[in-house]
Amino acid sequence: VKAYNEDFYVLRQSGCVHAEKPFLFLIFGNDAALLEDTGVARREPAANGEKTVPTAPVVMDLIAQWAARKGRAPVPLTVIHSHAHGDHVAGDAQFQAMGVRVIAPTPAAIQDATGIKNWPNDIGQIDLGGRIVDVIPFPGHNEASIALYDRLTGILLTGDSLYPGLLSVVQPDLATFTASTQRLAAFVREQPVAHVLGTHIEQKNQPYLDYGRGTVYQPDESGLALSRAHVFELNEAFLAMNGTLKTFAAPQFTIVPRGAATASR
Amino acid sequence: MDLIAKWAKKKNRAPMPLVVIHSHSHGDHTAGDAQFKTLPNVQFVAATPADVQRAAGIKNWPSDIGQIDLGQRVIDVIPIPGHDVASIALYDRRTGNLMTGDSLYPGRLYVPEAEIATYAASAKRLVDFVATRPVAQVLGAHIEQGRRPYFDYPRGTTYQPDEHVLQLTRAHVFELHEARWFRGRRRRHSHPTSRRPTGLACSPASCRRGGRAAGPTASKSQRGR
Repeated sequence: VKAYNEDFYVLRQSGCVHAEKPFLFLIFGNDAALLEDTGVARREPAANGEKTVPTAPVVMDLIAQWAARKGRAPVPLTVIHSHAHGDHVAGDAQFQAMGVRVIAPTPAAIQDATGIKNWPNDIGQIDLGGRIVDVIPFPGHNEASIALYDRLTGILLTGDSLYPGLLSVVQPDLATFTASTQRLAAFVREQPVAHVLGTHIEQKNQPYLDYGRGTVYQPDESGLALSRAHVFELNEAFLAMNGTLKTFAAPQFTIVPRGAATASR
Repeated sequence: MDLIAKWAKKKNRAPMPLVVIHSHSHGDHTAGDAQFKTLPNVQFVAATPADVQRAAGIKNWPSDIGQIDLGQRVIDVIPIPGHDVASIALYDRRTGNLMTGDSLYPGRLYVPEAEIATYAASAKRLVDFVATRPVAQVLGAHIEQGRRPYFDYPRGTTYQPDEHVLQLTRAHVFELHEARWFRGRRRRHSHPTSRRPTGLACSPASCRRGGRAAGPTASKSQRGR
């Protein structure tokens, strides 16, 4: 758990727990808190017979600490997902068991919850009380992929669609992904963007080098933060493909074509 | 020259001739020229399009790309007029480093109003160049940006304890090219209620300033650097 500031937390599940090592994000407004992703839920491998990854207690504890520090009652939590893949949603049940509102990782549920009329062209909002988070449909990596833009910090959360590592795309979704990236480029053209934060790191700290997928120990990995510039770089990369998916290495990320059968994250 | 002597000694060979070229012609990048011009074994390329064309074999300025061959190490010379008529970028094929001078660095990028179209065209050619090449780092000729996005030190700051690192990335070349979108925004920002100085288009790692803006900060006085 790392506090970006007192109202914005970056959480990561350790490589000792699961090789995906996904990131989760917790954002506080005056009236509500928003968690993006619930991560993996099962340790692989199990440690001392312990299989469960207790994510919900950690998050609820953060909320309690936040409330105590502010001298106020805890705020209700809403869970939303960067996309529907297992390593980002597996902890949902833990939160549901605690009565937390979990927005299902489907376009329809996201539309309902954030007031998106036309998927994927419209942008929705979640109002946390004095803090609006924009919800930008970003289908491509997954049909329910979204980007979140926190207007208060200018941080853009891009899930598995853009992060320092291996971005997996399947050929049938290339056109959708390209269109999504164009919409995101149009969005950041008009907005200040402090950081672009995705949900994994596979990149090394040197340009064009990465750890293979599933690496547990990454002592020399890159920072999580990409920049507004990388949205444009991703957009240009997709446009240059002209409809034919191929591997493309940029200094801080690589687009990796994957077979539809294996692309479940 | 001492570095060259040391390099030769470390390699156990004779020192080699030096070529001097310039990111552009402004004083803070060329003022040391006189010290080099008189030295033996120095090939001096003046900071003018004509001299750069001759030295790098560029037929058509600015649309062609020239080369300087150092012996098993080719440096591409890409004309990118805009900040200055003689602005170039250098691409070292060996390391993949792209040197962009004052045209792209973490700080405030100054453009005379009359040169905005030229500068935008240069940014487009730079985009086309990096589209097909690996770029390890993008290295400019100043740092004015702070480590945090959108923050910069004022011009002429001598102590910058929390400055941005020098290197930008390939992605920032695309972002610079996208800054053409700010031209419409700039007009909007010229509205009297705008608190942002007219002509200042900011990205997290750099600001682009048009010449008409902000009077003395962006007029002729800016062209001296």
